[in-house]
Amino acid sequence: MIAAQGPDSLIWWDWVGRHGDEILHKTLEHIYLTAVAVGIGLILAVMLSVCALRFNWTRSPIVWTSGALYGIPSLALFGFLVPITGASVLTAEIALVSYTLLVLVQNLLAGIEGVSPAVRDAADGMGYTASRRFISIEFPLALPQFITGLRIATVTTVGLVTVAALVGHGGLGDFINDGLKRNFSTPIMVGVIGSILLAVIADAAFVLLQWLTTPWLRRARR
Amino acid sequence: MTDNSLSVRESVGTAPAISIRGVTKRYAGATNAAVDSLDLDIAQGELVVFVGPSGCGKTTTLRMINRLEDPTAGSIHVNGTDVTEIDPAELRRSIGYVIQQGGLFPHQSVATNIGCVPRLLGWPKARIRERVEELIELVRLDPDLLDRYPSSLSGGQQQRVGVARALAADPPILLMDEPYSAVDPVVRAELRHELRSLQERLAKTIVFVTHDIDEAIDLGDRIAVFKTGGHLAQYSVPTELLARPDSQMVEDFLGADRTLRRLSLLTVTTAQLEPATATTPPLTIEASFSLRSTLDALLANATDLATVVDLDGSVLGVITLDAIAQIASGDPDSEPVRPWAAPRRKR
Amino acid sequence: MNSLKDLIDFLATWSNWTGPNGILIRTFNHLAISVVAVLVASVIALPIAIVLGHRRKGGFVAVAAANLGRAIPSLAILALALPLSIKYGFGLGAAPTLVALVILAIPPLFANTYTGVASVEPALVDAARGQGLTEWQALRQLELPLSAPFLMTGVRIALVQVLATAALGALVAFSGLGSFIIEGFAQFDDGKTLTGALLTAVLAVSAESVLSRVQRRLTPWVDEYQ
Ligand SMILES: Nc1ncnc2c1ncn2[C@@H]1O[C@H](COP(=O)(O)OP(=O)(O)O)[C@@H](O)[C@H]1O
Ligand SMILES: [Mg+2]
Repeated sequence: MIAAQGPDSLIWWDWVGRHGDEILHKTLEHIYLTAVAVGIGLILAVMLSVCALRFNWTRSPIVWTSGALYGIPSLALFGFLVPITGASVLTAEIALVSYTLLVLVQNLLAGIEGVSPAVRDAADGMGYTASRRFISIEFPLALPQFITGLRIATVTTVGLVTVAALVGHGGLGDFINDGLKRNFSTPIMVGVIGSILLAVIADAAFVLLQWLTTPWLRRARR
Repeated sequence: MTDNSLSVRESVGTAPAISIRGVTKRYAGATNAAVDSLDLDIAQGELVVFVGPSGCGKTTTLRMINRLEDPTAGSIHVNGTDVTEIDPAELRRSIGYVIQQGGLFPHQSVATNIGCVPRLLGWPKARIRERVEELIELVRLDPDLLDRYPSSLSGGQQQRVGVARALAADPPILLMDEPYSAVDPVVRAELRHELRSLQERLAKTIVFVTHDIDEAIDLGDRIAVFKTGGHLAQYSVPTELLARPDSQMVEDFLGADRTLRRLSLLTVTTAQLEPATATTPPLTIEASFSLRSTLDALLANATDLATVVDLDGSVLGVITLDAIAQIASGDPDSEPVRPWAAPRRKR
Repeated sequence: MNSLKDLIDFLATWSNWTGPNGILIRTFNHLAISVVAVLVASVIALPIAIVLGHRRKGGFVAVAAANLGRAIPSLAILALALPLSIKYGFGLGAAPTLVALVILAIPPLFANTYTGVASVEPALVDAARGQGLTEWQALRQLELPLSAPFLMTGVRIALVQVLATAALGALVAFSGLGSFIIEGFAQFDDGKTLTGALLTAVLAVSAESVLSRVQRRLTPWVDEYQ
């Protein structure tokens, strides 16, 4: 490899130039892995939360289990999964999904349980049915908290996808892993900067989404 | 001055306990002054109430006395000493300070809370414990509460602990900022009553802030009515305030029934009683009744005469509607008498 | 089930426990580097967080720290530390791992401590000043004890995160519990992989539960207060 700059330099731009296609491809893979994980996590979390709200006795086991999953270090979780599901996309997604659950469930529950009893009473008093009340009152009011949960889950997942490089499906993390193995800093930098950028963009996107979906929370202009 | 004594002591003589001279306070960035060229003297042993609408500078004035704020202009003397000459922390240890809900430290037991200032002053442990037990009795709390955390007490109990803490080092002055505003009305009246009797026993100088004119009239030896912009509207004893409001603002603030309120501060014996005749009116009124209660009784019985009797039943004279009307329409110098003060006076 | 047997076999072999790459020494390395990292990060983050919290200034720093801590993947920090460590002559292994762990521990420590101190009710601090506590006494006797639960939360989150990331240190040749997992992947040795996974998980979970218990013990008023 011929360096455009000195060998000391942390990033060789001509390497970056020559790997443009691969970088794009890995970025898309990164987004895809994140989206699938958060999507599945969301579906599971909604089901679990509804279950916890509907059947109160399931609440603590659900919260406890998602907390326990969240508490397992990522590398350890991959270590548990690889002997069973191998170094596959499935392994990567199982791990990623399990990390989203706690944050999503917690924020869903907190959002809905945080709706003030007075509002709930008022809705009941006006004759809302339970499901109607959920759809048109509780859910919209829980939305900000819920989007906060999605935001945290997404940003965390973007970071964790890099670790999935260890099972061969790490999006931009594959560059990091490759660079670490070859002790070559350019791909490391590409992976690091790329994944941080993705995280920051995802974060900003959710802030915008939150602003758009909760007009009643915007501060009135003077 | 040793470490564990207070920097402010009661001074002898008749010098005011607190003297505020030309004090102005302008908060950084604020266009209007919070307190504007205020002059005010507070006499030793008096309970002075600052009252006025919210935002008129009562709290700011109070906080300048113990230097939680420093005036932009003017000076404040406590027992003859300019407060800026005393180290703020030291000054505050010698002035009790009570705020809403007592401002108790949630992570300390009731006993530790009460012993706060003595600990700062370096008292020995045994003496602190002794003092704490003395205080808990003084504010009429159950000694069982000493080891509890504040959050497990009721609002009224927390307030009593707050007063006990403020009194711990026996400071000559007590500052209280809307201390009862988070307590329900029944407990509030009780606390006021206790504060009043506490003050009569301990002869502290107390400055009490409230936005509630009823509370001010009920408590104050003297009332300072503030008006918006940090000006003093009127500074008088309650009866005079009620009889002769200086301005429209004070009159409005006192409300439409100020005459009745004033009557409630005066006992029936302050009126001109007619000598008792052979045929005394059947309605009897005890001498400790306020003029307002007397009026109420007269109206309720559709009569304009009643016999006033002493505690032991001896007849003092006859009260008439005319006599009450006479007081109501003037005579502001008549001395206020409070229900709780009445029994003391008898002794 | 085969993997389970491999795990038991691996654990039942005494030589896997001793020696320079044994379970004992790697567990020690793993714990030691994590504790040192949290201590160093505390020395850096706590004084600044406490002072800013006491003055109630710089809340945006706390928010930024919390967000940044989340947005920067721990693997990225580790990966960044490696070339820098090599460039400045500290080499592979413990040095880049420690640097990464310290950087990783700072945001949760800072954000939680700041929030804790700054969230002590201003009226309460005011009451303390009103009783005659000096600024330092108010900080020591009121704000610090009241923010202890937050501070402890920060320490707990930091330590758990650091323990998890120390495992990734294996990627830069740090000999901790993660090394069993990475080596197990490379050698297709499920027993080794599972040993590493199990020990790493147990360490993280016990750290979490021990610190939660310590926290509750230290702040008996919290149940009633909040
Ligand atoms: N710390 C402060 N900084 C700026 N302005 C303040 C501060 N405290 C009070 N003020 C302002 O000063 C005025 C007087 O406030 P305050 O003394 O608290 O009134 P009161 O106790 O009578 O309600 C108000 O307009 C208030 O907004
Ligand atoms: Mg006020």
